[in-house]
Amino acid sequence: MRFSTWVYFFRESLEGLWKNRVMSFASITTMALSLAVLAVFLGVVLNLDHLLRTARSQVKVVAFLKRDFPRKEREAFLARLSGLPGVGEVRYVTREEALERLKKMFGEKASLLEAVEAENPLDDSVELRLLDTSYGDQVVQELRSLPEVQKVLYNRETVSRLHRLAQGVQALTLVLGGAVAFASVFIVANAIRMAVFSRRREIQIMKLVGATDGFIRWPFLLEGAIIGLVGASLAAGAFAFGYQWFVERWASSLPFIPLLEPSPFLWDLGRGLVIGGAFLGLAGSFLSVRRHLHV
Amino acid sequence: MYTGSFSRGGEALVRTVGVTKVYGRHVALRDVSVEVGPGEFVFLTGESGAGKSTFLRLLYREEVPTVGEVWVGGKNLNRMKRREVPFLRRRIGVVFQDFRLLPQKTVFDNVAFALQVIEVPRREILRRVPETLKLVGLEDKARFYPHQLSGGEQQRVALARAVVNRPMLLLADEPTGNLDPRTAMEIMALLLEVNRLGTTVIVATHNESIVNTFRKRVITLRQGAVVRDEEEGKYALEV
Repeated sequence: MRFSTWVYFFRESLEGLWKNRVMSFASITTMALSLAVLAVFLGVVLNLDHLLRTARSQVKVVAFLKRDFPRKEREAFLARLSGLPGVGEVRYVTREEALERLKKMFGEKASLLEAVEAENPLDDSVELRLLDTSYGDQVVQELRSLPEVQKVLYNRETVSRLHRLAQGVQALTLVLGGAVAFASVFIVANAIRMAVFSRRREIQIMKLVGATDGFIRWPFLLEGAIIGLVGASLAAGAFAFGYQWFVERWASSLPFIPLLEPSPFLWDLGRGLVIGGAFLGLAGSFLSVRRHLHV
Repeated sequence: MYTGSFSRGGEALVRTVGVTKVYGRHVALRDVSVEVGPGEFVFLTGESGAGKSTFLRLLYREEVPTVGEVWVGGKNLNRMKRREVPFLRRRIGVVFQDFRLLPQKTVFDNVAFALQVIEVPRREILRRVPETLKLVGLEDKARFYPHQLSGGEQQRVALARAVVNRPMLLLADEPTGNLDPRTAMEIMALLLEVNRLGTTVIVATHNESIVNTFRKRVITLRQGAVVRDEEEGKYALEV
């Protein structure tokens, strides 16, 4: 098709949107709101996934040693532990090191720790990476039986609980996504039905003078795509602002739970939303045109 | 200059073979077999409901016959695919009793619209629309809107729109039905002019004086059947 024809289609669609501006505004707003809600859910899902992956890469057993553990024996002790079946890397963490880590986690709020700094309440510990999580219980039992060991932490439970949570939220998001998609298609289809109705005279003349079906349909399809595109862009923009605000808040209050960095994440999510929105708009207008434009 | 496309001699431009059209239990056309040659001017007469409109609608494939065949410009419309229909219509002009102009477009834009939507280049549109408006005598009213025009002028715009793409066939369904006698004659004169320039014209009408004045071929329908078909006929319902 000629370029000027596309210009014509585009102008016709914009004119159509303007002609039914109340309807267009309502459809765009509704679409933006529902996509924004979906974006929030997607944000939660992706962040949980990120958290889960971080946690999984850190599956380890930590054995806290008794206060009286003589540090000069640590080499021999580590050698013994790394001999246990299923144990990979082992690492000795002194109480001083542990405190440093804690400070780092708290970041700007490290000053809170000053009170405890004078008398470090932490204990020396050994971190054991597992070759496979299936050895976990066995290793934990072995460690517990050692007289040097005071307490054993194994974060697999946390990971599996997180995993279940993530799965739940994912399923919910999927259902919500389906509902939003359905609603969006319906909203756009309805708007396009109105557009077709308000242009019925033009359509009649176009058919009479020999315009092709495609030529008659395209402005309506574009109109739907524009509704979707604009709605999704608004949703993406609002979500991006909200997320950045939230990340800043989060970083200062809960710094040790990692959130996705805004930069690549928001672009990816935004692009996905906009493309998805345009597609839903197109789908809605396609259905409507098929039903109501008897060309 | 406006020139219609036609070729004299050879095959019929319009041919129906044993056409019957049934809507539910109502028979609109019964076994109609008619031939119209290129360049002819034909009046299609008969009372309201005699099947005149249905006949015209078959020719631009708004309808397909229940039984029988319709041929236009050498094409069998029964076998025509959906996507071919627009290209048939580009070669057929249609005018109606109620003009069917777009109220928010100017005279110029109403005529140009017919070319725009079949992707005629802009330069060509700017050349053809004024010359067609001149043909129908509305070159001074290009910027007017339909509601600023008289009925006769509106029908001229509709006629300009129908012929701006130089059709081989012009179908007019009661084109003078909404007009006073004098204006009706003017429109008829224009239709004859279009015909003189080469376009085959079929006019459905029940306006007796027009048919009697112009002395052209007359095909008369009664209850969907052809009851008369004669050259230089007069309007007469009783045969």
